[in-house]
Amino acid sequence: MAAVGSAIGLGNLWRFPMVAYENGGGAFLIPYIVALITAGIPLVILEYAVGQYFQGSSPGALGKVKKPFAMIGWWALGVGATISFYYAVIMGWSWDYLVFSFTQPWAGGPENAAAFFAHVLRRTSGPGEIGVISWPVLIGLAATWICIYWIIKKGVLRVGKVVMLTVPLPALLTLLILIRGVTLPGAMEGLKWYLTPDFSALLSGKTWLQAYAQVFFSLSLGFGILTAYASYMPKRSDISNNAFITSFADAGFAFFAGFSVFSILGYLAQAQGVPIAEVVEGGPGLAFVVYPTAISLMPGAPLIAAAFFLTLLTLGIDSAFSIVEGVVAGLRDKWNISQNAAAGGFCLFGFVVGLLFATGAGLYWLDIVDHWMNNYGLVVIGFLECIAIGWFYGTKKLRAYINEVSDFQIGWWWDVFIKWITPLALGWALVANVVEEFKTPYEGYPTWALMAGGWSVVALIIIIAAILTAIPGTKREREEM
Amino acid sequence: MSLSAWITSIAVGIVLYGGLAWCIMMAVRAEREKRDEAEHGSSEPR
Repeated sequence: MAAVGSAIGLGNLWRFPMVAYENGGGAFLIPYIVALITAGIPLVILEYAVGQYFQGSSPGALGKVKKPFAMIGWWALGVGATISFYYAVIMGWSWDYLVFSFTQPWAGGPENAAAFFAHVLRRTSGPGEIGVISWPVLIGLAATWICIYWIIKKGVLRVGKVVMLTVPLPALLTLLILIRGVTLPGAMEGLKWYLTPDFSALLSGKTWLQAYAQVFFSLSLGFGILTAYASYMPKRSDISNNAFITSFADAGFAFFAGFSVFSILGYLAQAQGVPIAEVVEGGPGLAFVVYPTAISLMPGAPLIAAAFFLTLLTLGIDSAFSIVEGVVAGLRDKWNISQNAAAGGFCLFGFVVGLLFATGAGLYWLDIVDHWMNNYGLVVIGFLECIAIGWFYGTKKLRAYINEVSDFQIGWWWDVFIKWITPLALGWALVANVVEEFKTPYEGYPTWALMAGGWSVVALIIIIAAILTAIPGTKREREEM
Repeated sequence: MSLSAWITSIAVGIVLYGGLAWCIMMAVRAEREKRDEAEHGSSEPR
């Protein structure tokens, strides 16, 4: 349940529907399912199996395969930690908007909603102009880190209880918003845009690339989360069926969230008398500008807005605390410190670093760091995990263990995917991204900003990972490796 | 919505939600078998 909660996050709501819309609509679902089967599910099985078999967090478990591979684990945790710094800020915005839901200060059209969003963030003109810290964002950020600390300070027992609420609640709230959405005028037009297949998109390499990227990011692969959660499971627990359940639940939620998003977009387009292409937006723009605008036009807007931002919070919180738990597990295992101390120290550190994203330039830096972490952090880690297990540890050995403990057997296909197909797909995605990066600077940001927020952060994480691998941990850790 | 949109969404729905339902069913069955085994196992020595 915790792994399902971790996989289903904000990306399912604000990324998947837009990626599908931009890459052939209904036709995108074909490469998406292919990517789920050829890369997503095999890697989820791998991460679960590594964590459960070696009974350790990502660096500890991979370090048992071969000591230098612990660096892949630390790299994964470094990327996860960096993502948690800005993910908590997005959740901070959600707290603010949940409070604002009852007064609807964004009402009056998309321009007003965009201006209000910029006002809340105290947004400046670019990444070079830091501006001031936004108080509402600061308070929301503090609330988020306090929640994360409270949930994980006692370890997985409290996590287990919290996910009983945070996994079903957003699904229920999204269903309610969907029911409201499809009963609005223009909803079917919105759904037509979402689902009408354009099969010519299947001939484009970009569509397939996007499908693999979406599956990879959405399933929380490469963060070390699944490995950390699996390490808490008894060694005889099922692996393959749990991996399939996590993957299908994540993809199923994303597909279902698309109906909710596009029914609302269809309504907004009709209400404003514009084509749907003019109102479509992904990411924070969808959640904090487009959706609030559409909701403000509905009867009972405050309640629907509150339900929507509560959905964002409950979707985000289990992803956020699972990322932090992965990092905390790594630190705790390395130096044998208490869960409470590791969680408290990291949450405080995360809050301080997150202050950068709470400034007027925060949204720009968030965008840059997010792009680099997703495209060069997670993809490289997934690739290296496949190499470490596929070519050094041996897929046959790990598969024998998986089949011994699982509800159903996985066959030789898994070995082929881990050794060949998945690394090739991820390697291809990586090369294509790097080529694109040098052809067109991301979102037109200045080169110095892309160097500082992108390549430098990636390099810093690699250096820290190498240092953490090299320095000795506790006596127990040294004996286990 | 066009016919192709309906067909695509129904097919995808069957794969995703059918797959999920099947996996959950497998998990429930495995859990029940384990429980039954444990119950029978504990009564046999008597």
